[in-house]
Amino acid sequence: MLYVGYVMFAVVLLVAVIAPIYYGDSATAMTSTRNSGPTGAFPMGTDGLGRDMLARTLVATRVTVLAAISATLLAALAGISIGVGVWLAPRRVREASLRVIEFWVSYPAMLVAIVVAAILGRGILPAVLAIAVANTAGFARLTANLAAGIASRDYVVTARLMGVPVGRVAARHVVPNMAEPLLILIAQAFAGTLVELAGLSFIGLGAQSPAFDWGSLLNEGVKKIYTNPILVVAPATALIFASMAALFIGDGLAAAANPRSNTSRARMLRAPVPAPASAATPVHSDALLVVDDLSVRHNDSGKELVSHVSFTIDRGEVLGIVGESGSGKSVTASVVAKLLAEGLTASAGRLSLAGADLFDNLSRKDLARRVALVYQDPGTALNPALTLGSQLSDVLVKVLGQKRTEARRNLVERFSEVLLTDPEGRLRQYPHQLSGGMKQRAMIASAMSTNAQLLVADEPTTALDVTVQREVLSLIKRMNKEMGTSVLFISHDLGVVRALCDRVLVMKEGEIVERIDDMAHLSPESVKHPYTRQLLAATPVVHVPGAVTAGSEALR
Amino acid sequence: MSATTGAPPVADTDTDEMVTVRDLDVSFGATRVLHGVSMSIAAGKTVGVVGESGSGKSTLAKVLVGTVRPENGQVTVDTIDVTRISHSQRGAFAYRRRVQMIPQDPFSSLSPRRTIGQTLAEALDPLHARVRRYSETIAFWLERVGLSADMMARYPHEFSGGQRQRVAIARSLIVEPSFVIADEITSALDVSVQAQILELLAEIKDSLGVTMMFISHNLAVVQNVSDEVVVMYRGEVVESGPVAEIYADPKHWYTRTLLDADPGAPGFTLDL
Amino acid sequence: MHTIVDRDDDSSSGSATTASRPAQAGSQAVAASSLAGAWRRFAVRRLIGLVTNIILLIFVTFFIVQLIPGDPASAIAGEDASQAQVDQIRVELGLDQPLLLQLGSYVAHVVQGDFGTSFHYKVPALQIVGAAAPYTISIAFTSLVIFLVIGLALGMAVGIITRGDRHRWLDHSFNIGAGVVSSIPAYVQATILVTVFAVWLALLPPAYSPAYSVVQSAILPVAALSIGCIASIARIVRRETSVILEQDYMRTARGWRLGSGTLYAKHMLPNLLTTALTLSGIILTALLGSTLIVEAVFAWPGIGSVVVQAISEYKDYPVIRASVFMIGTISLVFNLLIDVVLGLVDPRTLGDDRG
Repeated sequence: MLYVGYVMFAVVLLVAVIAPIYYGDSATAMTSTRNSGPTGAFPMGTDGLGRDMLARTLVATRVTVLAAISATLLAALAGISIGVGVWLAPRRVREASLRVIEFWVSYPAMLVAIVVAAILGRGILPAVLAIAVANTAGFARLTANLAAGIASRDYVVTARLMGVPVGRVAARHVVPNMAEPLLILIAQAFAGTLVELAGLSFIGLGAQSPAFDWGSLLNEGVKKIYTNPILVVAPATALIFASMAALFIGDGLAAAANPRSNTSRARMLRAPVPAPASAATPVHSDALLVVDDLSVRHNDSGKELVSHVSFTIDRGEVLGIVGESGSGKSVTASVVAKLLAEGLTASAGRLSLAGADLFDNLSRKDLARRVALVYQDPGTALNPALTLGSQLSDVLVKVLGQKRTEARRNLVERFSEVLLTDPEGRLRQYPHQLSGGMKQRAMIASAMSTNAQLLVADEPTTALDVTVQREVLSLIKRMNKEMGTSVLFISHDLGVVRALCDRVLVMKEGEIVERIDDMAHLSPESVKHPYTRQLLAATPVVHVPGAVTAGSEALR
Repeated sequence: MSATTGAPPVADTDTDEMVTVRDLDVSFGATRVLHGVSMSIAAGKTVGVVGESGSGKSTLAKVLVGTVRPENGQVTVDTIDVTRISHSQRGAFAYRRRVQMIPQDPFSSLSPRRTIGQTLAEALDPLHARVRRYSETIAFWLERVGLSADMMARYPHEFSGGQRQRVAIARSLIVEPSFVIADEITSALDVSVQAQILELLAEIKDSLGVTMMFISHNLAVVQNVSDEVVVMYRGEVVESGPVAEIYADPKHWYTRTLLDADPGAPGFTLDL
Repeated sequence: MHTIVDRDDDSSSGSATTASRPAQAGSQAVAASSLAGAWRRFAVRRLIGLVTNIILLIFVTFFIVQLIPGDPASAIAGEDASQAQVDQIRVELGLDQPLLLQLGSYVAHVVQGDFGTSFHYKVPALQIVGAAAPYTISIAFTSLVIFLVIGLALGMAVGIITRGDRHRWLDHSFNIGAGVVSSIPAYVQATILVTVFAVWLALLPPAYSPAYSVVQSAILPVAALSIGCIASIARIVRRETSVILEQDYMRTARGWRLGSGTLYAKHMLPNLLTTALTLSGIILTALLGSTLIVEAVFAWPGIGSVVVQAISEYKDYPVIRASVFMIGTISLVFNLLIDVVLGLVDPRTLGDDRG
């Protein structure tokens, strides 16, 4: 798209340069063929003075494009300077200026242009100035916003603390880091400017006879639309072509700035050949979840994120999976919850949960009864636009078929179980009115309310303070003890996992490198794999000296 | 680039205090953020500041680097009265170079459009930031924090989170500051990377005798690198003292709660 | 407490420490504030904003005359005006008085709705503009509703159908189609519509005329104004749909195994509306601008026609001032309206300090 835009724009520029040289005379030459329709000599007709409309349109390219480029650059230069200046200004000036910019932006560019035209009179130069003034605000606002965003980044704060003069901070850090969005805006503004300038000419405030641009040609055409409709074709086509060129460039630049990975949909495949018996873990009768020889591949890159992983979770058991980022632990959890991300393919010899084959098309109700989830970031896991009651009751009412009042009662009860004060009131609140810890407790309450057999908890305490972490872990433990819910607990923190889990799997680069069954006696000596030992050593643990003795005095 | 950064060999009395904070109050509008905070850091020592979100520990750091003005109280760093410096531009400049802050987020602490060398050169020479003139110093410090000198020409996106934090540490030490503040610098890292960074800090502290304030919400991390610890709760210092003492026998209920909330601590339980 | 602190602390020192960690103590303060209180504060803030903006508008309209290069009076009177005519204009616009006095008397009159008497029509300027305003408001408002409803539905449908790179051909053809349509200026579209529906098919009137009903004459102008906006908003909504579909809370909703109806209509739409409405303010501003030009194509008797005529033919500055004031006010009120709807859809936006 970007290249199509470049080519189209190059064509426009070429016409702008060449056309006045070759067609300059025929564009202004009056012939006796007046108001002609399309003919061989005048494919786009002639105007009231017998001038060739095609030649006029081509020749007008130079004026139109030149005016649009100057107006865009003027606006960009002025706007960026104002934006940076506003950011550099003292706080009060900055706030006042931002208000004025907001005011300026909230009026149609066309209105601002009309005001300027009212002050400066008609003509192509006043029109260029008018559009530049109107669009300056947009640049100023974007620049000020970007600068404010960049200014709060640590590298700018640090540079200022280092004593780098504020002007140099702007030149070295702020302006270079906003080049991309500004470039996109320039392309978009050019398209807008072209249209607005021609618009001004169209309503008679731009180019004045004998000067002409696309807008004034279009205006002439529209006046004769009944008698000679061909006259509008050439200027209209030219306008569309040029503004599309600019739009394609703008869109192309924007797309290049935010590359979206091309993903294909998630697939779950039963492994074609049953896994060899040696790889399969022996399955006891009370296993709730059986995962046998699970592999997950990234479709496009072919990279294996999880390789030949097998494990089971018994009823009432808490299984932990520990690993660092990229170890495949979360992907494994998403397969178990049947929520594999787009673009991944999972295959396994066996995947069964509470007697159901996860490869089958399980009904939504069957799935909701089996698995409940708690996520890492309670700040984003809840829908910001819905009240807690509204979103948490959906699964109960619409999937599990409870009555609305029944679901509500259920949630109120669960909310008090997770020690949320004023449960009735909480249900009417929006997520942003709750703290992170409260949100996570609400998520656990929701998991409890569905009475699911397995709780999949993916790093549920990573974003929380230690005291809140302890509360959340306690709630999960209680859910496990009192309701008999099995838990798959994912974490990067071996310390957290050892406090909660009955058994732990250690994952590294998609593979299980160690299975720890005896959590009570976990120590660097009891584990076999060097990676586990390394993790254990790296996990910070509070050492409490036996007692306060003279020894600790000596430390001082 | 000598290994002694102007710190006395051994700090054993209170007269060698690098940082003194007395009865500090800070408010933002009607919200009181810090109330009656007092603490001190002896030269060459590291003090860990522990607290949860909202405890005011980051605000304390901002007061010390001079970006937040205190309402009341006395703040002295290296005999300079921090509350007065903002009046004179030159004084502020000199002060800011003596106090360095290592930020938390490795992905926002380095400008994506500048090479590591340019970033470090800017720290050495804020005005001109010429890499070539300082390339030896930069190379020395890159190696000092466990990177290689040829990384100078690379851009931040080529580095991992742990490597970026190493660069941030180098940037703060390269100006030979009197006092360094490390604000949650390992909280965005994986545990094994965190361990490496902590090891580096401990080693640098021992060999260079840097005075440091180490801010964290994690008691165990603080214990690893600190000589003393300050526990903050809702804008107040609830307890402070030598690490061994506080961890063995916390006096304040909040310190006890914090300690017991650490999954590795003996007092940790999952009962509500 | 931290989040509150950092919001108030507007200095350039960042809030990196709070970015990744949720507020704990701060939530209590937030929880205490009720929705009614939020609306009250919203009303007060917006009222103050409205008044400030109107004051700014009055200033801008005042300076339209004062900023005319050279001697405004002779510029307005034209080259072949007599000295007497120039002096008359000078007196009428108060240009013979000191600037502050001019401003004072201008403000005093404007507050009473008096923008002066039209030079050309010899009636109060506001009367002329007031008569034209309903025409402009009606087509602009109708277009606003149409582009929001159709654009939202279209963008959302395409966004859902092409989620996770399904049906790439639809994605591509939608992108190109919407791109082409939105890049055609409204007045060119208006011209095309007139050619097709009025000239060729002779179905609709080509321009406003008392011979046809207002509704009939309004169809083409509204279409010309809406089509481009529909394409713009649909593009935005389609992009936003794919962003929202990847949000954590949508994953949570899928984790609750909600059906697609609930998933899209209840969990996605409100968030989508927030973005769509926020951006529609910008599109609306552009739409009002296009209205001024499109009116010319259809000889639509709105403010656009009035102001263009006043500038290019009569140099009728009282009318120009009144028109600019009126269009500005319409823009303000429409934006306020959008923000009220936004607040109803998503109460979080009430706290935003916009406008």
